[in-house]
Amino acid sequence: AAAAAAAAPPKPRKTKIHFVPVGSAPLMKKTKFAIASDQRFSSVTNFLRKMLKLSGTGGSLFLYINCFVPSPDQLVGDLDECFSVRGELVVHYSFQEAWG
Amino acid sequence: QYAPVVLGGDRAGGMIVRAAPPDDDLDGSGQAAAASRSRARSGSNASADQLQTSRRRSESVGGGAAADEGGSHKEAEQENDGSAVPVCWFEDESSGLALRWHLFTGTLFDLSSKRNISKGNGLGNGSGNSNTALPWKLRVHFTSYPTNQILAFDISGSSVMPTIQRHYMNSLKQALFLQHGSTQVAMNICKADHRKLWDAVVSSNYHLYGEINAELQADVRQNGGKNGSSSTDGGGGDGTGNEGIRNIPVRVLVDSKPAVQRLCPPFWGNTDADSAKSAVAATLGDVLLLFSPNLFERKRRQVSSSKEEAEESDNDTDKVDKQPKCLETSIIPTESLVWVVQGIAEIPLSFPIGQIWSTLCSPDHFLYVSVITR
Repeated sequence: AAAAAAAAPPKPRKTKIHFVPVGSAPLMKKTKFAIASDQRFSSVTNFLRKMLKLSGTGGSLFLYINCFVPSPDQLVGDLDECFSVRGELVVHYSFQEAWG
Repeated sequence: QYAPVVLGGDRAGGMIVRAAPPDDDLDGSGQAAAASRSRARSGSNASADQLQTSRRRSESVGGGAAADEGGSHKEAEQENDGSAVPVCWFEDESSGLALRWHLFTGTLFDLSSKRNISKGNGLGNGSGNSNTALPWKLRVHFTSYPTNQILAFDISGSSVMPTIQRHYMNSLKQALFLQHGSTQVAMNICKADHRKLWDAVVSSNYHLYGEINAELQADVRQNGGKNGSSSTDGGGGDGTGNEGIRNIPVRVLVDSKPAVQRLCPPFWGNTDADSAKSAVAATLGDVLLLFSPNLFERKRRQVSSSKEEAEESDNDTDKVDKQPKCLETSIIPTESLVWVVQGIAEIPLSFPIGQIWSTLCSPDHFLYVSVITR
């Protein structure tokens, strides 16, 4: 199956992201978003900062998938393939370091 | 149910944060003035990223003195042990590219353009090439941090070495999740072992690293023992005790592009029509085909085994074509390129990826395959 997938031309995909707050981080009205799979993870971070109105401040924001922080240059689509659960990529976010 | 995310800016996968305005003509005397110039510019844009980048530059470049400029900025923060590592970046002199600090040095060397790699020779001693591979000439910069080429350091205000350490640990945790299929092993690493592991990596202390790593690998070997090493079901594996592994942590780097990281189970369904086994060990070629489908392709060719028999027995010409034809597939590159793992060029693509991983993975448990196109 994996080999068959390799032969197909890449088509524009979306990754479903489910944001989950940790600790003192606020719960957003909307928690589920679809993002183009060819984006880098830095785009997810920037997006969440905007949603939480942190863009102009120096406020720290930590994003986790499972218990790790993805590298900002990782492809959303790759993270989706490796770490999604039931079709969505769960991203935990926190103002403090949650998993050291 | 899932709202679309609309993003401004660069969709080409540009690296992280907007670049702070570059400092041009800096020598020792110009540093303080330039640092305050970039602070003033970034202040008007009110971008947290730019502020952090320029503040860090002034910390590293001007030390405490530059921070006094303007009077409203905090003193540069010192490391607890007083030995702050300055923010700097390295340039590969031959290519002019900034070196990605989050990759291991060996991988970066493998990717650097002046390596003239001949088959089986990792060090590069091609004839007629006046640039030998070693020593590797790097230029260190303390200004004009190229945030469009390399990751910026942590914007949460922490300094250089802890950022690199954090990056390493996060990479390791990803790999552990892929190996074991759960977060358990990564979560169980205690703080002391975190520290030991990092110290081992920084000081190249293999013994210390091996101590901690033995525990991290324990689950994988245990499962291998439970399942036994029987090969009757075709899943007997590659003989390295990797039977318990869920997915093999592999990252493929093509030239200066960010790494590709996809799921790599150790055994894949066999696509060959007439093969008896249902699953065979995934090969390096399988991985490269999956991770870089533009650069590799599967080639099928018919091989008639009767041909050899006919050649051996000259007189029995009527034996030809009695044996069934075999379908052989091989994976080959679609263009001129070279793949390198830990300095070893062109490992045969038919090698099981599990074996390559267990012997040649990096300290973060990822196997890095560098692909250099010409």
